[in-house]
Amino acid sequence: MIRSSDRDIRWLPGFNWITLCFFLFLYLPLIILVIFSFNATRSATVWEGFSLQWYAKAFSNDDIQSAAKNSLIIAAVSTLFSTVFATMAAIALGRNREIKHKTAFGGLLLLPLMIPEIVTAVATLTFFTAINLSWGIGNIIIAHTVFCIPFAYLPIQARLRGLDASLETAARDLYSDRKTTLRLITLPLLAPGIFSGAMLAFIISLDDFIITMMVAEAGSTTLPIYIYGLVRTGVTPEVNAVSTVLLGISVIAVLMSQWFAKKQ
Amino acid sequence: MSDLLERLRHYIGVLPATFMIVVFMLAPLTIIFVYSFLTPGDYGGVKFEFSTEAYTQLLFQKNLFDEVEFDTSYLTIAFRSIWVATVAVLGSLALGFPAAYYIAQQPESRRNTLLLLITIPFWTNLLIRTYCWILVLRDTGLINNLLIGLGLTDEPITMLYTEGAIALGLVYTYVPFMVLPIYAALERLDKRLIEASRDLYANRWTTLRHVTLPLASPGIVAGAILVFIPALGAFIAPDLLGGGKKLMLGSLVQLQFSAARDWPFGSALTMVIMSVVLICLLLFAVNQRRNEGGFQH
Amino acid sequence: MQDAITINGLTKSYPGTPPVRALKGSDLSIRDNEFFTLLGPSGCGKTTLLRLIAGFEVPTDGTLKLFGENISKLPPEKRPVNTVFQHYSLFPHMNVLENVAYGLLRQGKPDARRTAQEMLDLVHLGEFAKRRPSQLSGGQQQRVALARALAPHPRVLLLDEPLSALDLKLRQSMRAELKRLQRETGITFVFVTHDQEEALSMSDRIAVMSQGEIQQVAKPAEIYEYPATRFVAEFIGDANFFEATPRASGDSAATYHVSDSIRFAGPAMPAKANGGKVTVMFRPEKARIVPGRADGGLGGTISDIEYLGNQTEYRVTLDDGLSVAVRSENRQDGSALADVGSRATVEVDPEAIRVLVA
Repeated sequence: MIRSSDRDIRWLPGFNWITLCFFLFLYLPLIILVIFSFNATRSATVWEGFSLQWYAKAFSNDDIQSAAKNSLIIAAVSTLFSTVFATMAAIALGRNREIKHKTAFGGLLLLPLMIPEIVTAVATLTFFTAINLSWGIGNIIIAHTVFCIPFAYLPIQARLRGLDASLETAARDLYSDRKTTLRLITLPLLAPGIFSGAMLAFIISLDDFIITMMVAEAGSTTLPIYIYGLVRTGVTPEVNAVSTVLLGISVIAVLMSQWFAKKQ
Repeated sequence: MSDLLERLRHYIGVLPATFMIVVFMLAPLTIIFVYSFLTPGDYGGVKFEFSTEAYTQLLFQKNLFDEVEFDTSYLTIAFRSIWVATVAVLGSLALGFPAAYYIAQQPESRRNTLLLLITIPFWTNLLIRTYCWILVLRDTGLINNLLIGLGLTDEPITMLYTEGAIALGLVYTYVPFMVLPIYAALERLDKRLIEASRDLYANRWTTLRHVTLPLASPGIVAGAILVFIPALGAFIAPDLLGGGKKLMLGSLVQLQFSAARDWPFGSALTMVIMSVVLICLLLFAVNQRRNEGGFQH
Repeated sequence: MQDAITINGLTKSYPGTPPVRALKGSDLSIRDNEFFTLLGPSGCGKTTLLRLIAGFEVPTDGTLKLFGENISKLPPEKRPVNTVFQHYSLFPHMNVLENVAYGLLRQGKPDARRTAQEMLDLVHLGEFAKRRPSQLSGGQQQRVALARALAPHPRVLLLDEPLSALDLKLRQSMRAELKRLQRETGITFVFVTHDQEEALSMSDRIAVMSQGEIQQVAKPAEIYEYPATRFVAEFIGDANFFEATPRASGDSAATYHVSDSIRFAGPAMPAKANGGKVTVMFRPEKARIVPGRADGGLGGTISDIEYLGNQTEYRVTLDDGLSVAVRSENRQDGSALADVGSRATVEVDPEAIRVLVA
C-alpha cells in the first residue's frame, strides 16, 4: 500500500495507513467469523484446531434446513418477479420515446432505496393486515419483490444506457420488426445487465432481515430470522457456520454480478 | 378512446414495476400516515376513531392523576438516535475520507479492485456483519482477550451494549455510503488544481484545506446524508450491539408494532422518521443542484 | 427510366420552443444506379434526410417515393433500403457471418448462409466469417458493415459518413472500393458526408445542403465550377468574393464594379439579379499573379505567402484595401514568384468570373 518513490503530488502522509485500517476494519470481523466457524471447540476467541463439526451440525438441523428452503424459495421467486419487472421498466423508459414523465417513473422505481428499511417493514405489515392478506411466504415474496426492484433495475438501466441505440436501428433497417429486434438484439445484449441485476436482487432477498421479520407469519422462518433467534439467545458455533455459508453465497453472487456487469 | 388505449399501450412496460411500488410501498405509507391519527386497538391494530394522542404521546404523558405532564423519555430516545447517528456520520467521515482520497489517486485497475473490496461487505448479510462485532467486542471477545493477555487490564472492559458499540456498528454498516460519493467527487477533481495550488505556495495540508475539501464537499454532504438516513432508523445494530437496552427510534418503532401493540404510536414515530428523511432528501437535492451548477462545467 | 428516390416538400421538425426544422420542404430526385452524395456541414439536415429515407424518422410533411411507390409511412423493416451506419453498429454478440446473414434471415431468404459468405468474399473478408466484430480492425468492420447492408440486395444503399472513423490512407482506399461495389452491384448509393474531397471524387451527382435546405444538385465539376449560391462556393473549395454593381450589361458579357479602381469583366448578368447588387467570385487558382506593375490587372502589394507544396498561395492587398488570394504553380526549383512586400498585379480572365445572386 505504500510507495516511497514516485509519490503523487496529491499524496498526503498517513492516509495510506488510515486506508489500511479502514480495510482491516471492514474485513477483520468477517474473517474472525469465518475462521472460528472451523474451530474444533465452542470457543469463538481461542483457536483449538480445525473441524467441520459445526457445519455438519448445522446441515443436519431440521430447523435450519426448513429455514434455508424458505429463504431460497422466497429469494428465487422474488428475484424472478423483480428482475422481469425491472427489465420491462428499463426497456420502456430507455427506449420508448412516447413515454412522458420518465424522471418521475425512474424516481418511483428507486423509492424503496430511499426509505429506511424499518419504515418499509412496518408499513408493509400494516398494509397486509389492513387488507387481510395472509398468504404465508407469499406475503414475504411480495414485500421482497417490491424491495428488490431498484436493485435489479440499476444494473439493467446502466447496461441499456451503454448500449448503442443504433444497433437496434440497424436491426430494424435489416427487416426486423419491433418484437424480433427485442428478441434478437436488445435482450441478448442486455443479458449481462439482467443477470447482474438478478444476482443483486437474489442476495438482497436472501439477506433481508427486518422486512421479513415484521412481515413473516408463524411458520415462515427464513435463515436470517433463524440466525437472529440464535444470536439473541447467545453465541453458538452453528451460527458461525450458517453465517459463513450465507456470507459465501453473498460474496459469490456479488462477484458474479460484477463480472456480468463488466462483460462486453 | 382507441387513441387513449393506443397511448396506454406504450406504458405497459413500466406498469408492473410501478404497480408493485405504488400498491405495496406508497399505499402502505399512506396507511401509516392515516393510522397515526387513529386510536390503538385492544389487541394491536387500530380503532377508527380520530385522535392526536399518538403525537402528543411523543412529548407528554398522563400521570396517575390523569394530568398531562411533559415527558422526556421518548425525546431522550429521539435525541439518542440523532446523537448516535451523528457520531456514526463523523466516524464514517474520519475513516472514509482518507480512504476515498487514497483510493482516488491510485492507478485505475487498483482503484477498481479497492472499490469492489468496499462494496462486497455491503452486499453481505447485515445481521451477520453486526453479529461479528459481538465476537470482537464482548467481555470474552477478541479485544478483551487481547488486552488481558497483554496484561494491560485485569478486568474485561465493557464495550458491548454501549452507545459506542452501536455507533461503531453503524459506522461499520454504512461507511461505504460515505466513501463512494466522496470518491466520486475526488476522482472528478482535476489534478491540475492541486498542482496549481502547490505552485502558488500552498503546502500539502493547506491545499487539502483550501482546494480539495471545498471541491469534495458535495460528496461529503451526500455521504453524510446517505449515512445519516439509514443510521437514524437502524434496528439491527441498536438491537444486537446495544442489547435492546439503549432504545433508538428504529427499535422503538419495531416495539410498537410487536410487543407493545400500539400501532398509532408506532405510525406516529414512523412519520417522525419519514419527515427527517424527507428533510435529508431535500437537502440532498439542493446539494446536488448546487453541485451541478457550481463545480462541474 | 424511373427515379430511385423522389421526394416532394419533405419536411422534418422536432418539437421544442421554437420547433427545430431539420429539413424544410425539400424536393429532390435521385436516379437509379447513381452514386449520389448529400454534402453539407453538420446540422445541415443531410443525416435527417438519410434517416427519413431509411424510415428511422417519420416525416412531418411531404412525400417520399421509392421507385414510384409512396413509402413515407412504412416502418424501416418494410423498406427495401439498407444503411451503412457511421459507427458501423455491428451486432457485438454475433460473428461476422451472422451479422451479414442477419437481414437475409429476417427476410426469410433461402441460402442466407451462402449469400452472406459470397458478400463477405466480395469485400475480401471471406476468411473472417467466424470472427467477432470486436476482433476486427476499423477498416475490416467497415467492410463487414457494407457487406451486411448489401447482402439483402436493397434497391437503395444509404451510407452515413461511413469513412469518417477511418484514418486517411484507409479512407482513400475505401473510396475506390465503394465506387467498385456500386458499379458491380448496380445499386443506387446515397452517401452522406461533410468532406468535400470525398464528395467530389466519388459522386455521380451531389446535393449540397445547408440549414435544412438543398442549395444545389449537380455533377461534381459543375458544383465546383458553377456554384449556385455563395454558400456552395464557400463550402466547396476556396474563393474570392466581392460585392459588385453590374454596369454595361450585354447579352453575353457585362462589367462589374466593386469600387472605383476595381472592376471585373465577366459573363452576362443572371436574369434573377434584376440589376441590383450581385456577388462576383473567382477561385484563387483561376487568377494569375504577375510580379511588378502590369496593365489591365489589379495592382497591389503581397502581404502574405503560404507555401502549399505543389502550389503557393499569395495574399495580395489591393491598392484600395481589399484583399485577394491567388494560387499559382511554383517554379521548377520550388521558389516563389514574388516576395512579401513586393508589388504585384493580379490578372483574372473574364471566363473565370462567376456572378452569384444569392
